[in-house]
Amino acid sequence: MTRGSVENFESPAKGLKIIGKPIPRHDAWEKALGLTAYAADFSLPGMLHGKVLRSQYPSAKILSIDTSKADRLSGVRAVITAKDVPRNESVTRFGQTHTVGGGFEGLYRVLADKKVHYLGEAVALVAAETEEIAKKTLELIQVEYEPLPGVFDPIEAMKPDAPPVQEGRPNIITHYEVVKGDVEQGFADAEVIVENTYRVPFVDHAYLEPESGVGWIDESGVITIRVSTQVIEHFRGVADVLNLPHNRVRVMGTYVGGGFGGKEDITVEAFLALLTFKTGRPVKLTYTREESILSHSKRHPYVMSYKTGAKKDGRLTALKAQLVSDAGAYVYLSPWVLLYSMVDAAGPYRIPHVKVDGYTVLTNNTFTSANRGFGAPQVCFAYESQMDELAAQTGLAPHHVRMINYLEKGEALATGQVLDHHVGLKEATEKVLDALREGSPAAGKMKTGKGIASGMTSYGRMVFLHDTSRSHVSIEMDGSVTIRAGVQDIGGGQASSLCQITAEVLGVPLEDIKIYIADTALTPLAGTTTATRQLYMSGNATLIAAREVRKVLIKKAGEILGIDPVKLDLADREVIDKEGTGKGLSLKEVVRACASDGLPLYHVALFKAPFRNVAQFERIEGQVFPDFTFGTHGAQVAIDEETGQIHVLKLISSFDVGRAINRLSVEGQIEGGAIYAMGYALTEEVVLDKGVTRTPSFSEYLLPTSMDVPELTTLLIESGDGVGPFGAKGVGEPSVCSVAPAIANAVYDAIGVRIYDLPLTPEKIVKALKKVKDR
Amino acid sequence: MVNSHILPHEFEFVEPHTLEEALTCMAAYPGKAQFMAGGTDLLVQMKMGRVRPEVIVGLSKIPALRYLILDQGLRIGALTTFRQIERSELIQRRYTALYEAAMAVTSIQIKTMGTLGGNLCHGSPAADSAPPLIAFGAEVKMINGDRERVVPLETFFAGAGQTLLTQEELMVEIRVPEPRANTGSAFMKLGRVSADLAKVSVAVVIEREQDICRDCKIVLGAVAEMPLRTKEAELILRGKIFKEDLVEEASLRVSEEVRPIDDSRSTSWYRKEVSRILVRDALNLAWERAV
Ligand SMILES: Cc1cc2nc3c(=O)[nH]c(=O)nc-3n(C[C@H](O)[C@H](O)[C@H](O)COP(=O)(O)OP(=O)(O)OC[C@H]3O[C@@H](n4cnc5c(N)ncnc54)[C@H](O)[C@@H]3O)c2cc1C
Repeated sequence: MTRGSVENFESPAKGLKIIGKPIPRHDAWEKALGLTAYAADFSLPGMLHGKVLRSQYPSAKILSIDTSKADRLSGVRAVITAKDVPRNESVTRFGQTHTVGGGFEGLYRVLADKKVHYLGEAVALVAAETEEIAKKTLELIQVEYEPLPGVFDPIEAMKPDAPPVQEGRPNIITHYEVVKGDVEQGFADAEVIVENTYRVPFVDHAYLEPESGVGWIDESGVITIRVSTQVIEHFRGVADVLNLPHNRVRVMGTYVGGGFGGKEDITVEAFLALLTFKTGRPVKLTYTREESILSHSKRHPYVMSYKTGAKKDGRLTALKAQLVSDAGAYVYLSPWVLLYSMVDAAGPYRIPHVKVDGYTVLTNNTFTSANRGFGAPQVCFAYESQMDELAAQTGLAPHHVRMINYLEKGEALATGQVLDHHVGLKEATEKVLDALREGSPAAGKMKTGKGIASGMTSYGRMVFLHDTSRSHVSIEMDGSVTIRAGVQDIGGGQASSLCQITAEVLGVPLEDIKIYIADTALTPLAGTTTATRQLYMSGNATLIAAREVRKVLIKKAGEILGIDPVKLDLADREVIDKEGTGKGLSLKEVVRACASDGLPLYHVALFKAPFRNVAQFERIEGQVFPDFTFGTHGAQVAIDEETGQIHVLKLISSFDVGRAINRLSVEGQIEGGAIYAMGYALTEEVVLDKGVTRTPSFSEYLLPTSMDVPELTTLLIESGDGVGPFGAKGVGEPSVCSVAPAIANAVYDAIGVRIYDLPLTPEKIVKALKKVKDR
Repeated sequence: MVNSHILPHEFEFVEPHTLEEALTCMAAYPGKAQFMAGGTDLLVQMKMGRVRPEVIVGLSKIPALRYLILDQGLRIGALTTFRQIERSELIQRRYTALYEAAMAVTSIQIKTMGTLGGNLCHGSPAADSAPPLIAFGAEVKMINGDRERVVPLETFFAGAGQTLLTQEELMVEIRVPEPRANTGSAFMKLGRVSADLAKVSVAVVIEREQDICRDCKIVLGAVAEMPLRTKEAELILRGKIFKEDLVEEASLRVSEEVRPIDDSRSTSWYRKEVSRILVRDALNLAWERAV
C-alpha cells in the first residue's frame, strides 16, 4: 500500500504542462512487456562465450599458470592471463576527465599477476564456442598457488606489523580529518555526553541483472562493447588496457537492470575487449549471481566510534568521531566514499565543535566501492542513533532534539561549506511526525515503537572533479524532436526526465520525442549515472539545449507573425500568442521556415558544475559538493520480544526534492530507496570469514521481497530551490540515507534496547534483551 | 564456484506417463538415474554439483501420482503440490498444521512446482511438510519394481539429506490417519524474511478431552540433522490437565531435546531459545483449536 502527498512552496509548478506531472515513463510499457533488450538479451552471429577464472584464495602467491591443457580443448578460442594483457596495470578512473591526484586514483589491475589479493580476483579469461566449453576450459587451467597470510579486519590492517595487502604501499589508503572549533572545549561545555561504537556490514547491490555485456569488432575495426554500465566513459580505460587510441573503442550502454553503484566501476568491459581483440569474434560475458556476489564490489563496512555532547536542553555542543572503512583488496572508490562520509559525518546539525577522523584501509576482503548512498548511510546510522541516545539521556523527545539543532539555509557544515539552498528538514520531520501519529496497526502481543531519523546526502559530484555534461537537442522537419545524450539509464528514469524537460520547453507532447542515450560514438558525453548527478547535470544541459532551439523557433515565428517574440509561447505543437490574439502557426511551419533559412535547428549544450581546486585533501575544508538533499524517515515497528522478530509496519519518507520533474519517478525512487535500505537495516549482510564469502547466493544473502514491504508513504516537499533544472534536487541516493537509523530508533522505542550493529537481526535482539534482563 | 546459469553436466531426460513406465525406466539404468518431481530441490543440487545423475526420470507427466483422497484418513499422491494442499478446505479444517505448513512455503512459484513427495524425499531437516505429517502419524508408501513397503514417516529420515529410500525406490503415497475427535493442530515457522526456509519450525497435534491432554505430538524442523519428534516433552503433557506451567515445562524440555547447529540462517543458541517459544505458542494454539 502506498500513499503520497506534495507540498508546494509558492505553487512552483504554475504554468508547467509536463514537468511535475505523474507521467508514465517512455520505456515503461516496453519493460513491463519484457521487450527491453538488456545486456544479456543481445547476441550476434558467431558469438563466443567468455568466462573468468577466479582466485581460490584471499591471499596467495601465484607460482605458475599452465594453460596448455585448456588451450588444447576443442572449441576454445582464447585463454588470456596477465602476461597477455597489453597494459595490465593502470589507474582507476570513474569517468572523470579531470585528474585530481591526492591519492584519489588507485591501482587498476585487469588480471592478477604474481599474487592474488582477494577471493574471486580475476586470474584468467577464456572464450569458447559455448558456455559449457568455456566453463570446462576454466577447469583445465592449472594455477599453482602458495597461500600467504592475509589480513581481514581493517583495524588489524592498520597496525604497522600487518601484512601489506598490495606490494609497496601501506594498508592505510587515506586519512582525512574535519576540524571545527575545539572539540575538547565542546565536551567541557556539554552537560550530557553519549559515546558508542557502531558497525555496519558489507552489502551486495543485488541488482536483478548481474554484470553483463557483448563485445565485437565493427566493420571499421573499432572495438565495440554493449554493456550494462553506469559509466560508458570507461571506454578510455578499456582503450588504455589494449594500448589503443581512445577513438578505437566504443561503449554502448544498455538500459540497466539495476546499478546502485555496482556498475560504476568497470565490470566486464576490459575482459570483453581483450577476448574480442584476441579472437576477432563477438564475445558475450555474463556473470553468474554467485560470481557477482563473490567477486564484485560491496558497500563499505565501517567501524564508527561516536562521542556526542549536548546541553540539558538538547543543544549540541560537540561531536567527535572516528570512521574506519574496509576498502577490501583494491582502492577503487574507497577514498571518495570516505570523503563523502567525512562531509556528512556530523549530520545536518549545528554543532560548534567537531572533530572527525577517517581512515580507509586495505584488507584481503572483497573490494568495496560505490553503493547507493556512497558513504552517507553508514555515518547516518551512527549520528542518528546518537541523536536518539541524547534524547533518551536528556529526557527530551527525539524530534525535539533534532528540530532545535537542524542547520538552516545560510549556515555552514563543519567543513565550512555554506548551505546556499533550502534545507527542508523541519518541514520534512513535521510531515513524518504527522503521518506517524495516524492510526497504529494492531500488533497483538508484540511491542510497537516509532522512530525517526534525518539525513543529508549530496547530489552532483565533488566540485574538484570539474564535472560537466552535454546534451544535443534537435527538431526534425515534421516537428518531432530528437535528444542525444550520453546518459546511462539505470532504471531511475534518467532518459525519461530529459524527454519531459524537452517536451516542456518545446511545447510538444512526450510521444513526439525520441531519445538516444549512452553511446560514446554517437551521443555527446554526459558523464556518469552516479552521485545522483544525472538529472542535475544532464537535466540542466538538456534544458539549455532545448531553450536554445526554442529561441530560434520563437524568433522566426515572431518574424513571420509580426509579433514580438516575448509574447509568443510554444504549446501543443503550435506557436501561440500569449495575449490571445488568436494568431499562431504550427510548429511544423516554423521548423520549415527555419530550415529553409539555414537556421540551426539543433543545439549541443555543455553544463558545468561549480569547479573548485583544492591543494590538499588531508583536512577537508570549504565547498565539496554543489548541494545536498535533506529528508527524514519515520518507521513504525512491532517486535516480538521472545523471538526478536521485527515487523516493519510503516515506512514514511519525506524529502525536499526541490521540484518533482516526474512525480511517479520521484516516488518510485523514494519507495525503492526505502525498501533497499530496509534490507540494509534488517537482513542484508555479506558475511566474510577470513576473506571467504559465506553468503554466496540469495539463499544465504537475504533480500526483502514484496511480501516484506510495509505500508509506504512518500511526502514530497517542493522548495524549488535545488540546483537542478526547474529547481530540482536529486533523490536517487538520498532516499536510502536515514532508513536504517529510523528503524533502529523505532526498535529502541519499542523495547528500550539499542542495537549498534547492522543488520538488526532477531538473534541480536534476543541476546540484547537477555543481557538487560540478566542485569 | 557454483554456476547458476548452466547445469554443469549432461544427462538424459525421460518422461514416463505411467507409474509402471517410471519404474521400468528406473530399472533400465541401475544406479545412474534419479527421479525428479518439481525439480525445485534436485536442480539446485545439480547446479551446486552435489548430485550428478546420468539420467533423470521426470515424474510430472504422471497424473496418477497427483491426488488427494479421503478414505479413512487422507491419501496424498506423492506428486501433490503445496499449492494443492493449501487450496484444500478439508485439509485446512482437519489437518490444519499441514495446511499452515503449505501456506508457509516461500512463494507461489515454489508451491506450484514443489511436491510433497519431493519435500520428504530430499530429506532436508527444514522440510516444511515433515513436522506436521509426522505429528499426524503419517506413513509413506514406496515401491521398487514389484516390491512395496509402507513405513512410518517418523522413521523415514536417516540424517541430513538422507532417508530410507533407495535410489530406485519411488515414493507413491503419503497416508495420514484420520485424526480423532477433539484434535487440534498448529504449525509455526520462523524465517529471516517472509520468503525463506525455516530457521525453526514446529508442528503440534493435540487430542483433548475437556481439560485433559489425551495425546500430543510435538515435532520440530531445522533443529537437528532431521525432523525431530520431542517425545520427552510430549510425555510431560500426555494424560495431564493442560495447564500453563506444564506447557512451560514441556516447552523447556523441547529446548533441551533439540540439537541445532550454527549455519547461515541462524545460530544454535537462538534456535534453542525460540524452539521453546514456538512450541509453547503452537501448543496453546492447537489446544484452542481442539474443540
Ligand atoms: C527458492 C526456493 C524456496 C524454497 N522454499 C521452501 C520452503 O519454504 N519450505 C520447504 O520445505 N522447502 C522449500 N524449498 C525446497 C523445495 O522446494 C521443496 O523441498 C519441494 O517440496 C521439493 O519438491 P520437488 O517436487 O521440487 O522435488 P524435486 O526437486 O523434484 O526432488 C527432490 C528430491 O526428491 C526425489 N524425489 C522427488 N519425488 C520423488 C518420489 N516421488 N519418489 C522418490 N524420490 C523422489 C528427487 O530425486 C530428489 O532427490 C525451496 C526451494 C527453493 C528453490
